[in-house]
Parts: sequence; structure tokens; C-alpha cells
Amino acid sequence: MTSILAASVLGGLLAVEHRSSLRLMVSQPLVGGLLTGILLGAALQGFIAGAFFQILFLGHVQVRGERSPDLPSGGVAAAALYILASRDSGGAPPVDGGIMVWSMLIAILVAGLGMYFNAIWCARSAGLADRALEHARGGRFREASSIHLSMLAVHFLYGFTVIFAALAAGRPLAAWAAGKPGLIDAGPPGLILLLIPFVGIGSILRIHLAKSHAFWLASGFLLTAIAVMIWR
Amino acid sequence: MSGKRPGIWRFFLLQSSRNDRTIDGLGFFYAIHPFLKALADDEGQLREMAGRHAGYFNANPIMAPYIAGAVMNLETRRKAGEDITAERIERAKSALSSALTARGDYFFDVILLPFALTIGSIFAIYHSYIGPVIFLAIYNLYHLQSRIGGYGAGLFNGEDVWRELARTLFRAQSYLAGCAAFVSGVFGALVFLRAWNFGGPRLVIWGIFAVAGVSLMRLKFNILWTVLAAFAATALFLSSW
Repeated sequence: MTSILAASVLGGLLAVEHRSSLRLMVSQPLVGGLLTGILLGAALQGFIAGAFFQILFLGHVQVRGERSPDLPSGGVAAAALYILASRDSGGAPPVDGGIMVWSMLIAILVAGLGMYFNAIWCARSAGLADRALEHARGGRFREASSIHLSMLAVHFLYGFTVIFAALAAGRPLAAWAAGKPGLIDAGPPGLILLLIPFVGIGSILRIHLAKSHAFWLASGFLLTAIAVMIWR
Repeated sequence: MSGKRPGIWRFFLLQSSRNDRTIDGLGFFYAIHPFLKALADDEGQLREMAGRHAGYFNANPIMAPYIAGAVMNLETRRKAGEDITAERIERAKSALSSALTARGDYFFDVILLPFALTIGSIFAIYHSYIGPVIFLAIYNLYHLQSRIGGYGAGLFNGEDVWRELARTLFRAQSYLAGCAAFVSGVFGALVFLRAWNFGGPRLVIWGIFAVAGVSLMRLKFNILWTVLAAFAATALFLSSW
């Protein structure tokens, strides 16, 4: 329970970092997964889960006016679930593919949930912001500032709650599903980590397939391939 | 121009109260309020300025300090007696928001963030902790420069602040875009070579299908559904291995 609470607090803090526009990017899963791992005493496992969750969404570009998945919450959920479910299954090979698959699936759903929650919140909180702006125009600046800052608490509570719920329900689910033969056989350890980056490449190609970028994209690919072959 | 910067940190909380109607209007007012307070002679003047700036605001949060600085430049000159109307200030705020947001979104969200993340991911696939460090360093080099220095640049240059940005930040855009594409190519090559070493042609062929499938799905579907579908397909492929 302490581990779940600790990860939930981190989820809340990273939600604040993400939604308040602090934008130091520590809430990105690449960093958030590592922080979750350090907090739960398994830095490498957390880092791997967070980083590969990030790679799934590598080509994601936040378009103005378009709802985007809640990657910070997803990153913490992926890392914490992977660590805790691996512990529950009694220690595992370096990368337990089954647990990784289920942790990632639950984390993707968490990211989607955050996207819809934020859409609803942005619509519902307009009235509150209007009231705060009325206060500002009326010279009641302290009240306006208080309303603005109080919304940070909403972001924290959302991050905290969604991670708590995802871990409380997802931890036994991931451990059970990973151990059940025939449900998803994840193959040899580490195979999943070779497959996930293909999804990331597919999504990032959309950004770089423009005529002006294609030359550099192809150059990077070919030079690396040639360099690795010569090196070997 | 007054050099007082009593609340630069407030720009870091700009989007806390983001909503569908006034977008970041409350956040912009919260950020600019200490500057207005420092400029106003009395409560009445502060209320008059607040009345003009407590409304709609929609801009890239990293560009917001530049816009706020330009607005304060105009407010300061208006107070000093120059012929600057409230409408002109509003027009300048609106025009700068549109122009800088278009450039800022492209620079930070389309070029810089994927570039830094791809470099971080290259290290991550080898399980190296240096990935997150490099990612944070690259992104925040440009990000903090704009967030902290933006207000001063806007205050100094006023409505011409975009010229300053074109000279500094956006000049890096073209070569960073090339670097981002190059690094993505490096990442792609490493992923395919690792797959070849581990699983041979079968894994590489799967990879080609996955890359093509995700690219095509992204033309029609949003990132969440694309990733969910691609990941589910990956899990099924694993079962057949």
C-alpha cells in the first residue's frame, strides 16, 4: 500500500507539472518512469517501462485545440505497474514480457482516460474561470488568483486518484493475466522491447516524411546502418 | 523601460486554469498582474488596466512572456504619455499571440520536443540513464531561455519582439528540423538492426509492416487509437512467436 501511495503522490505532482505549463518535461514518461523506479526501489525497471511507453508515443505532436493523451499519468502507471506486478509474481527475468504487455495496455488506457477527463474539465471549469475574471475586473485580485491557483489542486487530485485506482486494480490484474497460460504468451524475455520501437518509428515518420526532412531522415538511417555494419 | 520583474515565475503556472471559453485568460492575468501593479500609480489605474487584460488569451505558454513583455512595453509608453490607445494594445496582444504561437508551436512541439525525445529514446533502448538527462538538457536549454528571458525581450522590443525571435530562437529552427529528421533516421536504423540481430528477417518484416501500418493509421486516427491498435497487434504477434 505504501508503494501505491508513493506512486500516486508522484502521479499527482507530475500531473501538476504537466497541466500547469511548468513544462520542464520531468513529467514525460522517459523521465517520469525513472522517477517512479527510483521511488519504488527499482530504478532500471521503472526507467525501461517509462521509456518504452514514451517510445510508443514518440511521434505524438500536441496540436492546438486537439485533445492529447495524458502521457505523464500513463508513464507513471506503466512503470509502477511493471515494478509492482513483477514483485508480486516473485521476481522475474530482466524483462518479463507478459507483465510488460499488460502494464503497457493498462497505461495506454490511463493515458486515454486522462485525455477525456481533461476535455470534460476544460469545458466545465469555464464558468469558474469567468467568475475569477469578474473578480479581477472588479479589483478583487486575491480572489482571482486563489481560483487560478486552486485549480492546481484539481490536477494533483486527478493525477493522484487515477494512479491510485490504476495500481490498486491493475496490479493484481497484470500479475494474474501475465501468469495465465494461453492469454498472451510474450515470447522470449526482451522481445517486446524490440517490437515496441517500431510503433514509435511509424508515428514519428509522419513528422519527417515532408520533402524538406526526407533527405536527412534517409541520411541518418543509411549512415547508421553502414556504420554499424563496418563496426561489426 | 522599467526593469522590474516581480513575478517571472508566474508564467510557469499560466495554463493551470485552462478552459474552453477564455483559454488561458485567467492565467495570463495572474502572470501579468504584478507587472501591472508595479506600473499603476493607484488602485483606480490598476483596476482600469486589469479590466483590459482580464479576458481571453490563447498562446503558446513558452511564448507568453514575450507577449506579456510587449504588452507592458506599450502600457508603460501609454502611461508616459505616448499616443497609444487601449485598442492598439489589444490588437498588438492578439496579433503577437497568433504569430508567435504559430511559430512557437512548430518550434517547440513539432521540432524540439520530438528531437530531444528521439535522442533520449536512442539511449533508452540500450537502457542507458543518460537518455533522460540529455533529453531534459536539450529541451530546457531553449525552453528556459524563452521563459526567463522572454519577458525582458518583449519589454525591450515591444511590438517588434518577433524580429528579436526571428534573429535568435527561430534561426535555430531550420537546422534543428534537419537534426530531428537525421536523429529519427539513426533511431530507425538502430531499431531495425537490433531486430535483425535478435530475430532475423521475420522480426524485420514484422517491423516494416508495423511502421507502415502505424504511419497509415495516423492519417485517419488519433495517436491514442493508433497506438492501442498497434500495441494490441504487437501483443498478438508475440503470442505467435
